[in-house]
Amino acid sequence: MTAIVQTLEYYLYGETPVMYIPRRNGDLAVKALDIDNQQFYGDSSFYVDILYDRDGIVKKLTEQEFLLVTHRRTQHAYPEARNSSTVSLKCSYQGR
Amino acid sequence: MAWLCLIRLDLRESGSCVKNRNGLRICVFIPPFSQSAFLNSSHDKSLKFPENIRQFPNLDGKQNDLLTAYLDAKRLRLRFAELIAYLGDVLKCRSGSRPNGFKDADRIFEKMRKSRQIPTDMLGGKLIAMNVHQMYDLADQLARKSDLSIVQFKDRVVEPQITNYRDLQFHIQIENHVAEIKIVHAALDAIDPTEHRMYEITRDLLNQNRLTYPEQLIKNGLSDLSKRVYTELWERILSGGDADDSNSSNT
Repeated sequence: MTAIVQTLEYYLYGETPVMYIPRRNGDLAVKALDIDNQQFYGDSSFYVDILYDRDGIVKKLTEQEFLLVTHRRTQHAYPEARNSSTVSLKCSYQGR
Repeated sequence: MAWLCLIRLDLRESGSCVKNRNGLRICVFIPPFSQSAFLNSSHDKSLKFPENIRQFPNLDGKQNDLLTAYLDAKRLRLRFAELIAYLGDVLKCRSGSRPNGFKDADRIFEKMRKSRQIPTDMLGGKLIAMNVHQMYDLADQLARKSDLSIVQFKDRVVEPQITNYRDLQFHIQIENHVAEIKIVHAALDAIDPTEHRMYEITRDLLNQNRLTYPEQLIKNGLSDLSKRVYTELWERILSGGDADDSNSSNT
């Protein structure tokens, strides 16, 4: 039986970083990086795409890999930020 | 004769995996009667994959625009359908392509939006085999066709998808467009529409930004059901059980 997500999990769906954020009540927030806006947004449809991985494009990541990939994606989208040490993502997932 | 295919087969038989000069993992099936002949041969000569096979998707500035790829797919759909039908005739197997010639536009754009990759299955076709041996035999013949530009091969029999769906997947290049050809067992092909419907139902269940606990249970349960169906069916295939392929339909 596929386990219910109980800890933070990180994935790469194609080129898109996705993370699962389990809530205390058992719900699951699914956040994907919108590269254009440098922002994570909620979209639980990724859950099924990752669950089935029909195209073989899903990769499970560690937290460090996830941070690295996310950083690279945003730098790629905004080259002017490459030399900046203050690049930060407008993550909207703080707190559980 | 060096009886080489891409391939390998029944996991209980004498198949093995090797790497070619480019580091590409190629699985080979060596029939017991020709094993020594194979081992003594220079099998790399028979591999027909181009140098860039690992650089898939083979975009390289060719298919880097979704709209161009979509319009190419639309333009090439009849030619591709004819190719699939031709391959079916030549290789003496059943074949099929998408009912409308190419993948639904909404799905293409949705896939691109989410994965930020250009889908490589806008044009998709399949060759249907009646047993596992024939699957690899078809793959071997397909790989030997000099008029086919193969850019990638994935042995998803040996390395099945998460749901345990198995096939042999080729990506070929038509002009500048990458298309998909699958070699699939008739039994798996027969249940594919049903399983795909299950996937769609699962996908369409309350797509919000948060899943409730019961929704997770339902989606996981449906996914597990798909895995169970494919796992049991494959075990039945390997054990020599009859495969009901009477309801096979298009991809």
